[in-house]
Amino acid sequence: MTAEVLLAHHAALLAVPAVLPAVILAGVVLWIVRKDRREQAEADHPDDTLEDR
Amino acid sequence: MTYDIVAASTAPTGGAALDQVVGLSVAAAVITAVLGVLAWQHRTHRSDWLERVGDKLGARMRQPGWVAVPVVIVGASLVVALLGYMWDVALHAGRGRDEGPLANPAHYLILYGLFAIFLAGMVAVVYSRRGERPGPAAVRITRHWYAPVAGLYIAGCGLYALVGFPLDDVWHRLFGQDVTLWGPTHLMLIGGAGLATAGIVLLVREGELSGQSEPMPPRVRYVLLSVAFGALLIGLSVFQGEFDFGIAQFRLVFAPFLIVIAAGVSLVAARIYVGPGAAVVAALFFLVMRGLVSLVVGEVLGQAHHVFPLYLGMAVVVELVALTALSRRPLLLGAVAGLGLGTVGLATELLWNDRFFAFDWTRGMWAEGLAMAVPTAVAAGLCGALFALGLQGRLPARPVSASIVVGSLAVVSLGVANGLWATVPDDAEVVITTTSVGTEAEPEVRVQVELPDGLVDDDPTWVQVTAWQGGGAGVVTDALEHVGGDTWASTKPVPVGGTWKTLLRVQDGRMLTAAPIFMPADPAIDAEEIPVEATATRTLGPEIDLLQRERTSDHPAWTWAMANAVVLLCSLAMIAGICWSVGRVASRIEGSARPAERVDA
Repeated sequence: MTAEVLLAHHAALLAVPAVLPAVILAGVVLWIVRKDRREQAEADHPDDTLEDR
Repeated sequence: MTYDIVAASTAPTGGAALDQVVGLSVAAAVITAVLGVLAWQHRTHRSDWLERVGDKLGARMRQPGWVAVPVVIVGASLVVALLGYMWDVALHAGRGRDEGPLANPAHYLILYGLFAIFLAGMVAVVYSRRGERPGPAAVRITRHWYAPVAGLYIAGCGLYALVGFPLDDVWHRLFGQDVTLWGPTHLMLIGGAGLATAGIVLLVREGELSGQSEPMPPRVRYVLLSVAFGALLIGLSVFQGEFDFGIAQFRLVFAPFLIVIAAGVSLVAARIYVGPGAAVVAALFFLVMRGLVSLVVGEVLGQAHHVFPLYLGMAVVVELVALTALSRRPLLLGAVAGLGLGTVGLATELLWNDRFFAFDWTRGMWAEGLAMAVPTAVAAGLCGALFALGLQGRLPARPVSASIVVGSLAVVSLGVANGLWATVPDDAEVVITTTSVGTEAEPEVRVQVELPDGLVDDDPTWVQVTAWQGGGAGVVTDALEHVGGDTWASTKPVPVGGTWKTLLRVQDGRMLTAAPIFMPADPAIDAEEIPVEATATRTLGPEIDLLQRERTSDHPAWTWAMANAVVLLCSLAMIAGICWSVGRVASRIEGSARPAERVDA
């Protein structure tokens, strides 16, 4: 009998409806931040491409 | 907090588990979508209901909406999380591991509470529109979107605690089911929730500074903030849970050590920031809330009984020190109040502890207890003062603040390291004689034990019998009576048989050891029954082998170190987060006020 067989695995399962939304929403906010920073950088230096900087 | 193994016979079948995975994933997708759409609608002015709710609540509470809504959410959900947490610990203390997937109702309350903390933070983050800055310390999300720094901090606390849930599962897969509160992932869960309360104090401060609402009436402000610091006191006291339930798996010197940390930070900050009497109000709030939760868990839900520190004497010590001329020098006040907490304050807790807690703070532990607690109390008092000064916008010069935080972390780390340093006697054997006194249905024994010569001195920290996980309200402890020589005897019967785990525990100085009296068979972990015998010679070994016998050791050592390091890093990030947030608010206040009024140490 291995340890894996014994585990109910339920903590991960139970947590899915709370943890996933939290992680995804936090990720979306971070993505928006990054996107805005890029756009701003491009607006400030319209001639440069990102790779040049 | 999940310490759940299911025996093979009750393990879910693959089909059932798959159903659950699908169901819960759908739930996750729906929740994500609903919240995401609501936030998007709010931010793009497609809906105004959040603002209307915020305006209405805010007008009543004299707070901007981005403060009022999160404060209400956190206030309502922390109570739920606290109840869930205490209930969960009681369930595990009384019954052991859970019996099946989703079977532990307390987990739902904890999960809801943690998610609500995250949600509250996110509401503060998304609330302000039209490029409006929520307070002077607002953090720029985009060019037209600013979030209060405390909102980010609270959301971070919630996220940190939530991530602890799946990590806890990974942890238990790697290392087995350690039935202790102080598993690192458990510390993430309770630490995240506990520290969110500091974020609330900061958020209310940002609301005040924003000038977006009428100022609170002084009396309302006083009560609200005192209660918030009371919540911080509760948040910092959850780490003491094992002592509260009388099933401490660590050395008793941790008890005063943890009490002074909680008291030093929250009571000193309350007194300096809110005003005279606030420390006492905070302590009273602590007592009311913890009293209610204890009543609900123990009496209404019928689970293992628990107690809690008093803190009232501690609060009075802080108030008295603040009556002196020291009140003009807050940092010195924090240090001196800390010194008072570590000495006079602990004396009041000693009286309370020895009256209500399972185990006395015996004289044998006083010297080491004070050596750990006094410097820690001073450090905690200093940190409490620093928190208050940050909120007032008069932090001392940066090197001073940084030294206090780093120094305090060092003192606490040394204390923890010392507390964890425990030894097990070599080849020590104890003769345990039992007398049956219970009924056939509910067998009980009285024990007499013959400890090895010289194992303990005249004043050991404890020689006790603990019986737990017997089902229901099952934690029974008995501090044995010294009847002469090396012989110790029961003062009351203790249960055996069934699922009870009944063991003799001995602690004296650094030595922490235990021997089984009765342990049930546990096919799930290939453990055979250790039966009660009339007279048995048993080996005194590491407690962890008995208290956490579900723990596995068949993993490479580096995984254990690595897992601990990850949790440690996350914890340090949390502390850095609150320091940065408070520092940011403080610097904006200083920047807007007349030339900075620095505080002398």
